[in-house]
Amino acid sequence: MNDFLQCIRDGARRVFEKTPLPDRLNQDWRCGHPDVHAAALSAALAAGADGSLRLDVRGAGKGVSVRPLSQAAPPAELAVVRSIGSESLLALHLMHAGEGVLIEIAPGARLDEPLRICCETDGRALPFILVLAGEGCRAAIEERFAVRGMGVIASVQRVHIAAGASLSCRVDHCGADDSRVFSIEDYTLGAEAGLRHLVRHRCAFWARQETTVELLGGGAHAELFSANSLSGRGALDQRTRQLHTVPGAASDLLYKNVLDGKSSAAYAGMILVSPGSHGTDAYQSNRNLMLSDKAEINSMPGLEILADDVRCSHGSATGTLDADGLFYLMSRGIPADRARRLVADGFLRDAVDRFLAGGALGG
Amino acid sequence: MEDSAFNFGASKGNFSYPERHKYDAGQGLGSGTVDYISEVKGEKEWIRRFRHKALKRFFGMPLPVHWASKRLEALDFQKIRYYLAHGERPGRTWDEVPEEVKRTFERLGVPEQERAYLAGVDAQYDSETAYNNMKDELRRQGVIFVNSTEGLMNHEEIFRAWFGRVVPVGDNKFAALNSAVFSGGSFIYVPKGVKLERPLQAYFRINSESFGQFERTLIIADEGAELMYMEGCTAPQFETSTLHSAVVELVALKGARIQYVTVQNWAPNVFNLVTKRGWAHEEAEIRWIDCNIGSGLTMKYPGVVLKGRRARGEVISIAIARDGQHQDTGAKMIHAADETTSNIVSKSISIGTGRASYRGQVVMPRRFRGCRNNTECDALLLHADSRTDTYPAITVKGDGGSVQHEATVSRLSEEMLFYLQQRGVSRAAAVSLAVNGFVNDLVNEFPMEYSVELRRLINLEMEDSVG
Repeated sequence: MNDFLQCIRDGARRVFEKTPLPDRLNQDWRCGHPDVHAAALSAALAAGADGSLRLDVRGAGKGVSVRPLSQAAPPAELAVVRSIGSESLLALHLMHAGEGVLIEIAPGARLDEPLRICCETDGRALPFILVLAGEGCRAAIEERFAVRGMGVIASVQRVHIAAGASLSCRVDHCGADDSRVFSIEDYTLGAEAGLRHLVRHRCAFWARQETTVELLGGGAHAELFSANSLSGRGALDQRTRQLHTVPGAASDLLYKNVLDGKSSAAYAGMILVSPGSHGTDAYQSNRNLMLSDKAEINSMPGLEILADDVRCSHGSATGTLDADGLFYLMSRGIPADRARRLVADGFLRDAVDRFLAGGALGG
Repeated sequence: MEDSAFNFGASKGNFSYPERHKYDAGQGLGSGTVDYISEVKGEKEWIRRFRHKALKRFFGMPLPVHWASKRLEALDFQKIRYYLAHGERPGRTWDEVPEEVKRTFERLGVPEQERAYLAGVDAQYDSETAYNNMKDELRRQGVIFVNSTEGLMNHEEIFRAWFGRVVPVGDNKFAALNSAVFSGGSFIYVPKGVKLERPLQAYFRINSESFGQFERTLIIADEGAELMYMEGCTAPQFETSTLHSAVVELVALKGARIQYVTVQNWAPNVFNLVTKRGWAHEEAEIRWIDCNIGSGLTMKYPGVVLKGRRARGEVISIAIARDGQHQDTGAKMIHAADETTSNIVSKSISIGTGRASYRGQVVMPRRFRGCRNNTECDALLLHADSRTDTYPAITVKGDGGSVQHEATVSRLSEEMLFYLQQRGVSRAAAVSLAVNGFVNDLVNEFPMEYSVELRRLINLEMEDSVG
């Protein structure tokens, strides 16, 4: 094992020893049932990876270096990873760090096609993915995390987008009815850097995603999208943070869910504007469409604003199908079920369209 | 500046008279305190048991600092005095009120307001009501407007059934504390179909240092009844912390309408930790109209449980946080019946290092159809180091309702200020105009007498904050 991994593991052990597992007093786990899910996940993480991970990276061409973590010495920019209320779980994950890759995109590189990362497991996998997008580069990453059967995939991603670089990142989490997905993503952006990010979740028994985006340089801008269609008894728990620590950065978030069956979703987001971060422009929106009387949504958008010259707002709306719209479709010969599906797909479409609008390679 | 009960100029309430209390439960809290209060009031056994049960709950509950301000840790419950009273029964005329108490309320302008436009007044001085009166006509119509002790003793058949039901003892730590040591407040019953044309008013005054005021208010509007209740409050500024922890319960039966108006202007050393909730039955309406200007830390989230079909709830709130203040206010709406609607409009202004937080909860349980909520939060930041937070929590189960929430944060537009200055308006006046414009639509929701004073007060708060 290299020094880097050893160092990470030692640091994580120290954190784990003094940090309690998330409990019901943990505000970042509000409505997230930490007593059930954090407990189950910590048991899985404590057992470590079982070697079932199949990790594949394709599309790495000129200007991209992909190395397994065991042979890598990651740069200082990637040294710290942040969770949202799950410090002890993150520490447990990193105590077993070993699986994963370091991807470095050379400064100024222009990638012709997206980098594709695929992680699959039917057991217990703990991938750790580090990405450094060098100054002025332009790249797209498409990630797929698939877990089958009763498997657990707990992924940690640390991405730094250096000054002037532009990264488009599409993340698909594909679960199975009895699987668990846990994903921590921590993005930092340098001056004038851009991030476009879309995350989609499909039918896991339980999925929790913690996405932190920190804008470290003036002119940095991030657009964050999510579009999820939930059904069955799946539970999705998404937490986001938009951290504005410097003046003149922008972030925009749109997270949408369609909930059917007995599914449930929680969304908690926070826009934090540090003192002195004037000229910040931040928006956050959570939209939910309820298709079933058994579904449940908990929406907790948030703002903490400590500077006055800012434009910050958020919105949350939850509603049900418009009966007139459905009737119209049915009157045109579309069966009720298909009509509902059409409306639901249309509802999610704009989040995906807005992500795609910038072009797959960060146009 | 003319005297008025709601003319809370910066120093208006900042005076005190020497203490001459006949009853003093002393510093600290224990079962002895509860027994002392119960004995002095000559309460029935069930009330004493209620108090003791609440005290046990209070000691068993942690401070909610995992989500609330850490400032709560500065509260030392053993240094507070829980009961201070003159011992006299509330006066029905101002002549029956002890001289310095009378002088206090005269300085605050309460008797004058009563003559001018109120249907009744309840004036509380430290722990007990000093004056309570309402128009004879209302008495003839069967309206009851008394303090909590009298309500539970003389009208047990009306009030006992609802007392502690809307806000149960264990609802939160401060509701438990209030339930253990409550004293004063208003108990109001408005009979079926009686509509009060003029408001009833309560005025809460703290005069003593290291004191805790724990009034308890219960308002029952019977079927088709209507009333507006207004409360105001002031205290002198002391070096030590003062605690104000009230519980307010409203019950609007079928088709009833209650409007509850508060203008809170406590001194900066006051912790204002209040639990306010109403039950709106079928086709009933409860409106909380709330303005928080004073106190060091206010935590107040008026709520409505919409229990009957087509019930409606509304919270309209203005908060002004100046240097060192934290106004943590919000609203709760629980939609527990079909076709219920609720509306929350919250505006806050943070000045200097002031911090204004909106904390809200909207819940739509399964089964109910046609429920709607609308929430709007607007925050205005006046200085570079001002702070505002928004923490809504929205739970929707099932497909029977729709909820929308919007929050925005803005500052005063330099262009607008420049435009006004260029037209010959001073910068201070321009800021004042802009702030008044920001809250104007909400100020208009207050009764006319209040809104005039509120505008004046907002101007006063702004006076030395422009620079």
